[in-house]
Amino acid sequence: MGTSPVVSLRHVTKSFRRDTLEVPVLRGIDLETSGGDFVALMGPSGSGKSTVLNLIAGIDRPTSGDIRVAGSDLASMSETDLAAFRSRHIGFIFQMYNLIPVLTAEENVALPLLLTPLSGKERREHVRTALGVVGLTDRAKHFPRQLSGGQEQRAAIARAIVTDPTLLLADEPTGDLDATSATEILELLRRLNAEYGKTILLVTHDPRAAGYARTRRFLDKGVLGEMPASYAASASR
Amino acid sequence: MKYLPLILRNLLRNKRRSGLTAFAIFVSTFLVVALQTALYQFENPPSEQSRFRLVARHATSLQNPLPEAHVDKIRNLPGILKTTPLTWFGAYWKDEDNWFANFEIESDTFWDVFPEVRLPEEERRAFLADPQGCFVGRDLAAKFDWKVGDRIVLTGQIYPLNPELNVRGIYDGPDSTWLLFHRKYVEEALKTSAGRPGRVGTIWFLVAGPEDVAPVSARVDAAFRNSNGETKTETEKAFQLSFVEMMGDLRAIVRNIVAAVALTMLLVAGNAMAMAARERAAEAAVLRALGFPPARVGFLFLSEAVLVAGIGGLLGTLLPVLLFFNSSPEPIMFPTFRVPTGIAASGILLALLVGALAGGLPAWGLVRRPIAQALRRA
Ligand SMILES: Nc1ncnc2c1ncn2[C@@H]1O[C@H](COP(=O)(O)OP(=O)(O)OP(=O)(O)O)[C@@H](O)[C@H]1O
Ligand SMILES: [Mg+2]
Repeated sequence: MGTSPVVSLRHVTKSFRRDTLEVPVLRGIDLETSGGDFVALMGPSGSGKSTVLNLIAGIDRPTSGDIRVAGSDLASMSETDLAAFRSRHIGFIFQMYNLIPVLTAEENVALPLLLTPLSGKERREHVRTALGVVGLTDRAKHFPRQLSGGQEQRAAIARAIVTDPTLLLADEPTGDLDATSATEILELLRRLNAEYGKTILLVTHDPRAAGYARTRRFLDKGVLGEMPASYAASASR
Repeated sequence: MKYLPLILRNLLRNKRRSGLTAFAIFVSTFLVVALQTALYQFENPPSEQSRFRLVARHATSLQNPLPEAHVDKIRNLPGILKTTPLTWFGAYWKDEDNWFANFEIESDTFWDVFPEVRLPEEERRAFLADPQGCFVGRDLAAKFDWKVGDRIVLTGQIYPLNPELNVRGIYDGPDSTWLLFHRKYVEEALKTSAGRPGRVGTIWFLVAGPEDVAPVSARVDAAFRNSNGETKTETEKAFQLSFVEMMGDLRAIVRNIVAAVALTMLLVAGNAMAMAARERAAEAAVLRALGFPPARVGFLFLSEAVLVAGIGGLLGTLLPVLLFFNSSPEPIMFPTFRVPTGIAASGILLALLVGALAGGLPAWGLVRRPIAQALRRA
């Protein structure tokens, strides 16, 4: 990506309408992330962390402000353009894994590849590689319900990286996991960043998880700031 | 079709619901196709027998014959499809107690108007080839123990002629108690007797449909008014007229049932697909977050509905096709009761349309729903 930032948010605001009331959630966010960075976005529940992630992924639109991701100005894009943009540039990792229950691990991982012009053989190779990276090769034929939470999340990460996207967005990926599985996932994310140079934006309110990132940002009352000391203390390890 | 596994797995996810929906569409399509085929058969009889048969007789009495020239005149009137004369000969066999219906027929045109009198083709040819041939109904043949090849001599009660006839065939039909023989034979034999040659008893003819019955009857009777052979034209049987009137209602009834069944099918399928869409909302949002274009997500869901409906519709159409195809080759009312291609196609199309509508609305909902909002519920 060179010097141009992968993610650039400028004066982004977002309010939700609740009945007749406008509820401001983001009051002017500026954020710049360059290629190869691993950013943890923290903040109390309801502070708008997921909203920021959704805006960057183009699955939600800001009330005002500019959002540029991987060189695209998201404001000007149609739903279909945004879908193509996500397919090419974004790998999404959810708190609840969100695998398709009727598909096996490898079929789930193959899903994003269906949108590419790759042949069936090429798709199988990519899937094998991705499953290898997350260490799930022996569970390829398992259905999600036959996997543990940690294994499901690893399959979901394989699905997120299989197209080699520009940016990985992870929204509380360890929120539903026990400590051991959570550590596995965080180690995996760190390895993806360190070994494969993946740019990662990790949303979490777990300071220990944030400790795996290179940079930490704190979202509170609609604005981004530095980590409060209480968080920073527990996050450094 | 790399999406087929996903579509199929989603369908099999709730087997009972998919199965019941397909079954409902199967039953509905079967009803629609079978009813429409039945209606079609009523409205488009495959042979002329079910068209409307009228009979012209002498206005004064059935006993008075009509001039033979009337036959051709009627034949040339507009609105008349086929015409044949039928003349009561009036004879017994051996003993006056052996009474039965015996008619002289115009052999070339008889079957145009009376196709329900079914005679095997080789027997018919044998009859046509023999000027003294006759053929008899199966019941009558059984009664007198007549066989093909028998020679029988009748005693005429009206005309001075005792026809000597060869039994050339045994027919089946709604009334198989008649004996029928060549009018030519009688005309030839009675060439010189007064009052007989050039006379026929009744003239039978077909019109195209119920709406022609009244005007054509009037036209025939008008053509011979003030002639020496005034006619009175009637429908073959009184009940046929009420049948004719019933036809209009029948069409409306069938149309209404078909519409009601189609609507029910739509509601059943629509409900099932709406339920599926509700359950699948989060997954659809996940697919879209992965970069699936809205149209693709909608298409995947729509395919499920169309596939279920298509399977139900195909089976529902195939069943009547197979059922009616195997029905006996020559029943009296519906000689070839088959599902016309157009109706079969319309059955499948209707099912597919129902699938598209039932799946379309929920699919549209899945695509329209903001992704972020659907994901929050995930
Ligand atoms: N579609 C929506 N309609 C109305 N309000 C919304 C919507 N999405 C988010 N919000 C509100 O915006 C605020 C921020 O939500 P968001 O999910 O971004 O918070 P979060 O920081 O991710 O919280 P958590 O840590 O609990 O996941 C919340 O108050 C939430 O209720
Ligand atoms: Mg959140």
